[in-house]
Amino acid sequence: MLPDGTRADEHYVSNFPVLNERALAYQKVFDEPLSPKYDCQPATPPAIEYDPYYQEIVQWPDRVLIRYEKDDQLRTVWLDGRTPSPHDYGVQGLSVGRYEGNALIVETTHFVFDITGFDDYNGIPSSQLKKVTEKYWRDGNELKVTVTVEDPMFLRKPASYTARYLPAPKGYKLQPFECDEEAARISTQFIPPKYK
Amino acid sequence: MNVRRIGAAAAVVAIGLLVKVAPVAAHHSAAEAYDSTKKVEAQGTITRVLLKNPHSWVFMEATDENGQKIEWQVEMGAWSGMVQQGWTKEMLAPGTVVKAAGAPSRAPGSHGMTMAKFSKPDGTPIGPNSGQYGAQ
Repeated sequence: MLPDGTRADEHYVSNFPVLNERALAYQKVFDEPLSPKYDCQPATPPAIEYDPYYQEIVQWPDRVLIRYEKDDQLRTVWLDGRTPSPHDYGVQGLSVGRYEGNALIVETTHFVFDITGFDDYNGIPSSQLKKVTEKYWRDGNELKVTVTVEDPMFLRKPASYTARYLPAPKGYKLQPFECDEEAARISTQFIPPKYK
Repeated sequence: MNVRRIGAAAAVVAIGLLVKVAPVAAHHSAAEAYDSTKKVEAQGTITRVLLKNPHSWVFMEATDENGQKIEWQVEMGAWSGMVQQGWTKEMLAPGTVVKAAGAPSRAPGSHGMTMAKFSKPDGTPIGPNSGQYGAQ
């Protein structure tokens, strides 16, 4: 059975995260209007990689810049071998990377606690122990990424998926997202209240 | 582009996203707010629009079955995406009389709508995709 209750076909391989009891308890009490996205808090990995908006990747000698249309986010992947410190906690954490063969490996830690930091659709939180490892590589005209998420606070084992990106139309320039706080929160009034 | 190739200037690659495999559902949790198994229709005058991200909104003044004025709030896609689909501000300008048909909101007594298809009162679709907005 799929997470939405429908029956999977014979080719389906489940990679839904295996949640521990703490995560299941959070899911049980989760109330949709709590989700920070309704107040324009930016999305983070693993969700921001598969949000259906454009991205731009720029390679510098000492860093790789990944700019996301979604929430106007910029992730900097440092290639200088630095080690994250407590000063680096943030919504996007701190990313360090290296090239291995034809692939870019990105490791991100020091994310702040996020009540929907793993998945805002299913109300799966992520903790300050979340570690996201991404492997990017070219496959012809496509860019592919395998994303692996570890979070011992909420996951019994790492969860992983692979996605592909297609080139944007020639000449396309990223558009500002400029999340509007009013527009973001309107729909919460249509959710039947879970708590009084 | 070879991932390892780094020129003297920054290599800029604009990449669009098409997700082939994802372990969890998409970013949007519209099912909490709207019932896609039902359909509601309304006709009214657009009083206001919010053409924004993450979602655009069309506010319509209509009357209910008792003749009382009500306001429908119709959720659409991110404006940045709608523009790419061919939507313009003029298509849903305040003062326009429109029909909207879509999935109703769940909260009792509310007048929200999503997955809406817009048309003129005579049924002529408004906007691209035969008046159906493209959700994101």
